[in-house]
Amino acid sequence: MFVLNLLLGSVSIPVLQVVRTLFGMEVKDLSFVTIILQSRLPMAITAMLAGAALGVAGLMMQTLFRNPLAGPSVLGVSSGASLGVALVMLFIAIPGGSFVAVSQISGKYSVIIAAFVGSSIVLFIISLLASRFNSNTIILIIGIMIAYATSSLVGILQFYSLKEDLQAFVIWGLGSFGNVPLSLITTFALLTAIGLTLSVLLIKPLNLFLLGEYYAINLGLNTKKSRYWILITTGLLTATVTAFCGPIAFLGLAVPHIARTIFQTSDHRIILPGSLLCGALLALVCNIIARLPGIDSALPINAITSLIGAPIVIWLLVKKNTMKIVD
Amino acid sequence: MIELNGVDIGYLTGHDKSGVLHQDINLELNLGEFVCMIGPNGAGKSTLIRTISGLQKPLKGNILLDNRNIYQTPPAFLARLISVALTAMVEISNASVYDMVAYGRSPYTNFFGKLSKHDHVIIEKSLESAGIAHLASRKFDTLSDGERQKVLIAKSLAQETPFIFLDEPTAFLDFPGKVEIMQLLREAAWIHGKSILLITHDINLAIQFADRLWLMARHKPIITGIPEDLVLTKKIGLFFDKEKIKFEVEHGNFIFETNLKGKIILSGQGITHNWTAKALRRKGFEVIAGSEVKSGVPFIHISDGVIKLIFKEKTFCFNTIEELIKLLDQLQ
Repeated sequence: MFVLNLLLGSVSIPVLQVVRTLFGMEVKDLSFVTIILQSRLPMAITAMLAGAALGVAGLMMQTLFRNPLAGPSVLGVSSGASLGVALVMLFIAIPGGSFVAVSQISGKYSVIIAAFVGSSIVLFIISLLASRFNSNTIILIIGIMIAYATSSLVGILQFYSLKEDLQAFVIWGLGSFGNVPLSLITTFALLTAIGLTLSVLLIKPLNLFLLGEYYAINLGLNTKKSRYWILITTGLLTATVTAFCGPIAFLGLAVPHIARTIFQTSDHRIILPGSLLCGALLALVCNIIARLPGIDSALPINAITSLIGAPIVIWLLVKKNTMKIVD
Repeated sequence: MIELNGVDIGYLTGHDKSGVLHQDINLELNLGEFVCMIGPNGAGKSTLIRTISGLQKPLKGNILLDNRNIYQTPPAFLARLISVALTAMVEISNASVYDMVAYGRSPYTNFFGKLSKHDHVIIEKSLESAGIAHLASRKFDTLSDGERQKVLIAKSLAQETPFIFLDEPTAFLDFPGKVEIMQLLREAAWIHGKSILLITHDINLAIQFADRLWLMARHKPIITGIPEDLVLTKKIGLFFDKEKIKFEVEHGNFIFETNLKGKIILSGQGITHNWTAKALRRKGFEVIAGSEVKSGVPFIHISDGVIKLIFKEKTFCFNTIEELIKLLDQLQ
């Protein structure tokens, strides 16, 4: 998939030229080098990392809240990130003129920080509620309410913002794997790696949470501490992805279901790396489809993730249930 | 030993005191003892189990395990001392029975939960004890309610704790299944020296198996004692008696009074006598023990397995209770 991502794109580049580029050999057309190294390679890496991160983040949320509909975006985490980004892009920028006019790199950093702070605040609220109420429904509903509240705040900000900033924000909101320049890839990869490493360390607590709070405590889990770390890790992963790629819809919700169906287990020692892999793969597939040859400009990634993800989840569920009936 | 000192249990919501289920509970649980907790629904039995398991803080008082407050004990340490099997449904898909029982080993496994050879041995043994070894590879969510209960019991056994608390572990089991589980748990107490506390609504079984009963009802202090004493002092009866349900001290049974069809005098003894009495009560007669014939009241005498009915100076003989009941229906 990764290779396909490098091979396919709106400009067709022969396989040999791609290989030569990657190995630093002489290439016929210098624009090929630019396209592959400056565009396709960072894009493929970004897609892979984002997919892996969202898959794992979604899995953790579904396990923690014991709700198959939970996901980073459902709980308002992404909305928190959006609000943070909106504040920076649309509001803070006003006194200093257009945000778009501000330097590209420092702007990217402030977007990242804003998204992270925004989603952390939402996660903190959710975690407080989670320790107070023993009802997933309440937490889920409040999460959705937070999402509505933040999006209306975003709406107000949009109403009063400059045209160029608004456009930049709307485009950011459509999500893209192509916004991470090669120079920032390492930062992105590092943050994602930290999040994924933390998630691997949380495998045992995640498994215990599957049994519900009471059994988890009785089996020796410090649920408060574990819940806190699961939320922090999810926050880090979601915020990282949202900051670098915009709010990527649906992957976080769909990937754990795909992984569970493929691997036929609920053991996080398998399902967590499974979600990581499935997430990376699905994101790469979506990325290819978004930039299929023949289409001049890339489609927004959010449209593709939902279009691809939804039928896959439905198909897997239907297949699984018909198998059950045959049993 | 677990001690409860002046414990209040229940739920507090703001200043609302109605959530307090029981106040000033003072009880103890000893190793090697098989204790059954019985009482009507809503008495707070499950809440008590959760409270002494370290899952729901008491509103007042202390719960000490070997003089250590269980709510100041790290969960990881407590997990090796107390295990629970609760009524709350565990909803987990794609987990096998073996996986579920393996959860019992969590307090002993490493950071990633890797099972050692020793762990596998314990899991196999627990599956065997609970009688579900043949289900090991089945998915937990495809099991019946009764089978799931056995899985959770096996999980508790695998946890290898000196204290095991179970909330209605026999509720969904068939009768032999109930007896098997009671035997298994009593063995765990008697042979392996564990302290077992379980909630059950099978009062007959509890009386026959338990070393000690805890009687619990709403707004009444908890009563404890050995089953026979509680029967003889009619304390069990008092806990459950309602207008039409009486606890019969003689046999340790509940009888359901439906005195719709008048009185019958019954004399004699033996098995046939006892079952005839049961049949008559079931059919709605008030059975009076006596040996003198009264006018207008059917008189039944049983000797050597033969049922004799004297009514209005006529005598009838029957070989089966069914014939007797048929005739009584006709006479009315």
